[in-house]
Formats: sequence, C-alpha cells, structure tokens
Amino acid sequence: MSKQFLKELPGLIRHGVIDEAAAVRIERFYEKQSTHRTSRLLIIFGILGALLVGLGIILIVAHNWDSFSKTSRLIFAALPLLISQIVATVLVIRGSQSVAFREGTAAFIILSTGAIISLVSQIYNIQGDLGKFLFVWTLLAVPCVYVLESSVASMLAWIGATSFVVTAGFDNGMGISTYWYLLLTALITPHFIKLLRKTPDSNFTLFHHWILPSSLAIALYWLEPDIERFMIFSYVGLFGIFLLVSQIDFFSKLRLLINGWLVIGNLGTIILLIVCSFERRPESYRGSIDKFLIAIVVSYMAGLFYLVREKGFRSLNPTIWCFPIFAIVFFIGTTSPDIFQVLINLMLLGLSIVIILDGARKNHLGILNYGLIMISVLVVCRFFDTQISFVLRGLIFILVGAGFFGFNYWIIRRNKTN
Amino acid sequence: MRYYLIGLLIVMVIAQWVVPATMIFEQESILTEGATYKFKTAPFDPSDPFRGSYLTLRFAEARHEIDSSLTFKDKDNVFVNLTRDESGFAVIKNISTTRPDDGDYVVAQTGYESPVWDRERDVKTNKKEVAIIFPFNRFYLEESKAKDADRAYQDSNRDSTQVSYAIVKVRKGKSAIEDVILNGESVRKIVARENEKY
Repeated sequence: MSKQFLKELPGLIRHGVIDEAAAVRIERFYEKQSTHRTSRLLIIFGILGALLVGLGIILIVAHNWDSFSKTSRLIFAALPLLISQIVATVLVIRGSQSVAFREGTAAFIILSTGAIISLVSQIYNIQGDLGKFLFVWTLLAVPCVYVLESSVASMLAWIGATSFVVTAGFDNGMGISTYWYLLLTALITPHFIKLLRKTPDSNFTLFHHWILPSSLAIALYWLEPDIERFMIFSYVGLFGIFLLVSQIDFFSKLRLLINGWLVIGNLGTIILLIVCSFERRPESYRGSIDKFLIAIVVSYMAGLFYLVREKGFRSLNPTIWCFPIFAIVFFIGTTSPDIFQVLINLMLLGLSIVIILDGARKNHLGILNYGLIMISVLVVCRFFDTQISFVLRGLIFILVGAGFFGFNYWIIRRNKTN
Repeated sequence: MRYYLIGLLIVMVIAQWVVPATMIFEQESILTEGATYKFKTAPFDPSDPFRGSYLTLRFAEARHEIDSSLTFKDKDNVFVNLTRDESGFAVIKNISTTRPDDGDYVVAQTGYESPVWDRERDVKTNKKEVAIIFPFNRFYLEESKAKDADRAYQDSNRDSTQVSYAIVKVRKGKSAIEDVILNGESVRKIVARENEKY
C-alpha cells in the first residue's frame, strides 16, 4: 500500500496537489513505518527461534543417551540453562534495549529451566507430581519477566499459572494447593500494569488483554472444584467484572476485537444466560456462598461504584447491569423456579434490544447485528420448547428475519445520506 | 535501577540452579547412603501400552492388609515400613499415617481399598486391604531401547520361573530406583546385548 502510494508522489507534485516538502515528509513517514515493521518481524522470529531451539534441545537430551555417563548427561541437561543465563547477564549488564534479544533470551531461559528439572527427574527416575512441577517452573519463570522486562516471559508465566491451577485442581487437593495460583498471578500482574502505562498499543499488551481474562475465567472453577458453589452465579459475576474493566477509560478505547475483557465478559454472560434459559429447575441453585463468591460480589460493587462516580450512569455500556439484574432474578428463582425461566428469557430479550439500540446509536453495524444474532439464538433455542405453538414460533421467526433486513437497511441508508 | 536489576538477576540465576541441584543432591544421597531393597515385580496385563521412553513397573508387594477401623482415601500419603523376607525381597511391614521413628520406610500413596479374598474358599473375608502406589514405578531408558526392555520385562514376568525385581534405595522416607534386574541381569545390559545382535 505505502509503496504504491510513494509511486504516486511525483504525479501529485506535478499536478500541484502537494508541494515537495510535503512529499519528503510523506516519504520519511513511510520509511519509519517500514523500519518498525522489520523490527517487529525480528522480534517475532527471535522469539519463535528461541522457542524452537529450546524445544529441540529438550527432545535431543530426552533421548536419554545410555552410552553417556550420568554426569555427562547432567552436564548436557544443564548447558542450555547456563548459556541462556550468560546471555541474559550480558544483556542486563549492557542494558540492552533490543526487544528481540531480550524476549528470545527470556523464552529460552524459561524452556531451559523446565528442561533441566524434567531431565534431572528422568535421569534419576523421579516420579514427581505434575502440579508441583508446573508451580515450581512458573515460579522460576517469574524473575525473567522483570530481569529481562520480557512480555513473552509474562505470557508464558500466565499460561504456566493457568496450567498449574487446572492440574492441581484436577488432583482435587491431593497434591499442591490451587491457591498458589493467586500468588503466581500476584507476582506477574505488575508487568501487565507496566505494559498498560508504558506501551498501551503494543502487540504484547494486546495479547495480555486476552490472556488475563481467559486465565482468570479458567481458574475460577479450578481454584476450588470440589466446593459446591453457585457456579453460574459466580461466573456471571466474574464476567460482570470483566465488563466493568472494559469500561474503564483506557480499555474502552481499545478496538472491539482486541478488548478481550469486553468480548469474554459479553459472550460469557450471554452464553450463561442462554444456558440458564433452558433450566426449569436450575442446578445452579445448589451450593453455598464461599470466599470467592464474596470476593467477586465485593469487587464488582466496588468497580461499579467507581465507574458510576467517574463516568455517570449514562455513558456506561448497558451490559454491565447484567450481573445485578441476574442476581435479583437468581434469588427470585430460588423460591419460584417457574418465573425464573421467564425472567431469564425476558432478560436476554431486553439485553439484545439494548445492544441493537446501542449499535444503532453508535452507527455500528457489527454491534447491531450482534444484538440481532442474540435474538435469533434466543428464538432458535425456544424453537425446541414444545409448549409454544407453531404459529407463534413462525411469527417470531418472520419478525426476527424482517428485523435483520430492516435494521441493516435503515443503518446503511442513514450512513449514505449522512 | 541497574543495581536492582542485577540483584534480581542474581536471585533468578541462583533460584534456577537451586531447584535441579537440590534434586540431584537428594537423589545422590539416597543412592549412596540409602538402604537397598529388592522389590519383586509382578506380571501384569501385557496389553498395557508401552508408555514413552520408560518401563512401567508393577510390584508383587502392592497391596497390604489394614485394620478394618482404618479408612484411606484415594491418593492419601502414607508411610510404608519396609522389611525383608527370607529370600531378601522387600515386604511391607505395616503402613501408618505418622512418620515412623525407626526402620526403613518410604512415603507412598494409597490406592483403592478392597476386601481381602480368601483364595482357598474363594470368598470375601471381613478383613480389608489397600493398594499401595510406590513413588518409583518408572524406569527411564534410552528412547530406542525402551521398547525392547519393555518386551523383555513383560516376557520375564509372564514366565513364572524367572525372577525380576527392581533395586531401590531408601533413605528417610525418600526412595530412588537404581536398576531393574530381569532373571539376574540388569535390563540395560540385556537391551544392549539385544541391540548388538541386530
């Protein structure tokens, strides 16, 4: 695109559209852009290279060369870690600014640490506990995040912490406690905050916007899987918090697909509501109130209070009210399950209408159609409910179909006239 | 700023070496100073698939009768007191939930509880026993050799005249597997000889 545009420049000068000074400025602008692109490629290939070489070395040593003595096998297992630590030391002492080098080295150190632990286990036939191994490995990866200021290390640590909580939770408290997940996340979160402050637009920050909410959403269940908690209620609350986060000024400016908080919070809430809309006597009523549930409710209220004070009721995305409304519906449902299903359906309908209106107001076809798709999913789900007559279901389908066409036509027309 | 980073770097480097080093020292101290026990291996379903580059060992002494008042959950940690029978193989003396004061013991996990079967009358008895999962049921071999070793191990276990066992060192509740012997010969040597044939 830029190259084509640069070819146009002489023509533009000839026809007096721009002067020569402007042409030079445009050329410089695109030159800068292309160096940015090369360094980004360098970073990507640096990281990929480090990951592949690290994995390759692990596989070669894992062959468990019987012809070598135990000592020489141990030395081979230790070499990658030693080399990567030397490189890291050089980088730190020289105060290297090369992102590619720092990220690549961090990835390599993390892999080498995992490799040496598993290879020592192999050489000595140690059985080990996968949960414990993942915990120690992630914990050893944490300093890399800060020493090398590495976002790859941070992402690997988030993935490690998540794998740990799932593995340890799967063991049902037989091995290491899942609560250590909270320590790991507390240790790596400062890096995310730093990314938000220093490089809010970098790709690494954007990846974090997806990794963090995904990790938290996975961990909530596994933190205490054997406790009968109001699971759906807790999750609607957690997604409510994600939606609140997505409304903070900084996050609300992000592009829609990059804002994992908004997408996961929104989709999660809607999927759970749809699941609830099927339940005549919801399973989710069974359970008890535990500390995580209390933490979620308190954090949600604090977040809501902050946002309302900062931005006022009006400017907030309407979906953030899902959790309080759901809480009321939920507790009505505990006494009268029949009303629960009706209320959930009404809530979904109301939510889709709010989203459609929001899309219309913002002139955003994506949001508008998202609301329409929600209504269609709701209708399709109710299609399987046998109590509603065919005529009524048919009419609803026709209405939704007409709505799809009508709304889109209206928006496109409005955009054209504007 | 730089000093703080260098400090953190030193902490990182030390921590990353401490973990594997502790593992090595612990294993070495068990191997050099631990008491030697020979755990007889048991025949098992030959269809049990070969897993990765290691032998999966099953032990003859893998269940132990317990007091009927005791109840263990799956994967409870227990202390297994060991002794030797007249032919020198390891047998379980007793299992307890508290650390024994003397004698050799290993920390193992419990499996499922079941009633003891009276083989002569072929009926259930009132007594119960619990499965013991020892922490040393994997023996790593070179990738290419593991499959041959697995075959040799299974052949020797199917043939009741052959005796196969694992040599395990035990020290202060920790254990390390030293070798697997099939019919009086180290499995590593058997595999090496088999490999030379081809």
